[in-house]
Amino acid sequence: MSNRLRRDRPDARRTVVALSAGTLIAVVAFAGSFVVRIAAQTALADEIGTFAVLALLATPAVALVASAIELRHAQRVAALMAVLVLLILAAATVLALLTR
Amino acid sequence: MLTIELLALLCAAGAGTFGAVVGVGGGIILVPLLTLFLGIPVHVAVAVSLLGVIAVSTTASASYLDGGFVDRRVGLTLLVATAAGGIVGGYIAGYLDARVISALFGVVLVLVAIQMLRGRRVSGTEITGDPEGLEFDSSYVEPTTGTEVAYRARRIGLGGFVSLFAGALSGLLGVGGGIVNVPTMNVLMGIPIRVAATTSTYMLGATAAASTVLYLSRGEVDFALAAPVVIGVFIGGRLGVAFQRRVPQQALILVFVALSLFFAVQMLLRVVNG
Repeated sequence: MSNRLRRDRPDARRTVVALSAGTLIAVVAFAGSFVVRIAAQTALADEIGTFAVLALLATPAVALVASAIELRHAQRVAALMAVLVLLILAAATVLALLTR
Repeated sequence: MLTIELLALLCAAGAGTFGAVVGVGGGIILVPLLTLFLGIPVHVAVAVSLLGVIAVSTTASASYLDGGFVDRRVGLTLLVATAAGGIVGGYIAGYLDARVISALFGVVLVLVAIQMLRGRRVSGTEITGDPEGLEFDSSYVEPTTGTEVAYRARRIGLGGFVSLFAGALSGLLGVGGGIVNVPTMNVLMGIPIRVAATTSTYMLGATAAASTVLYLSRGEVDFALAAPVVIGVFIGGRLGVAFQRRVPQQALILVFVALSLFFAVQMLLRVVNG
């Protein structure tokens, strides 16, 4: 039973890389935005801040794509759920664009 | 203006540290701090808090996935419900008066304080026979003992229903949703507490992202405030993990309960006084 159960945790390296890289990019951009704002360059700080927010929002979505790829053979239902969540995030984005 | 940003950085670092040590995330402390002490409008405070929730989730999830603690099969199934709930919460928040959100936050703070005092923790459901219907068998290696712990996740449908509520609460109030998700997975679904907590953290990023885009479209994400909050929560979360084993957790939980009740009273007074 133990071996069967342990196979229930497929390799997560791609998801880990997606999460780590996305967070790093976003946090570095936020730090840059903060420093630029201290230097009184408000317009540039806002642009970097916008990029940082978008990078942070994209990180979970990219991680879901990575999870769907990793799980597509061992856990098809979970991979399908990851795709379903991506569709829900897309619906949220469409709703946001329609109600702005 | 810059003074507010520096104070927001300190508030976020403090909330992130404290939230990580007591295991509730930073949003539950950060939103009252930003609104009560810095005078930030509650919708803006919720929006930047959600960005902090995403940062904490993506950072911690990478580590938890690497350690093999996250049950992605359960997490992704429940995530369908929490992400949908996140849209509902984020959408409704746009139509609610700031006083209603403050009142809801006050009530949630009281409920969280009560839950923290109860401190209910159960081990996973043991596996007997084959899984029936929508049940998942899985296991993880408990790092404190080095042994493999097998468990069966039950009542997935009911868990999903409660997760919908958790997602809505997260989108509405800018909190992680772990305050609902962790007890649901642990007590209701029979998932060991370590797997429940890490899987909940894994779910929070996408849940918060679903509602944050709605706040972004309404112009409620303050970029000047977002940077210090995300950096503060990011640093605070890491400090919290480092401090977690060095400080007496029971005493901290009591401090957290006292703070939560204080903030709850302040938020409710704000509603009464307009």
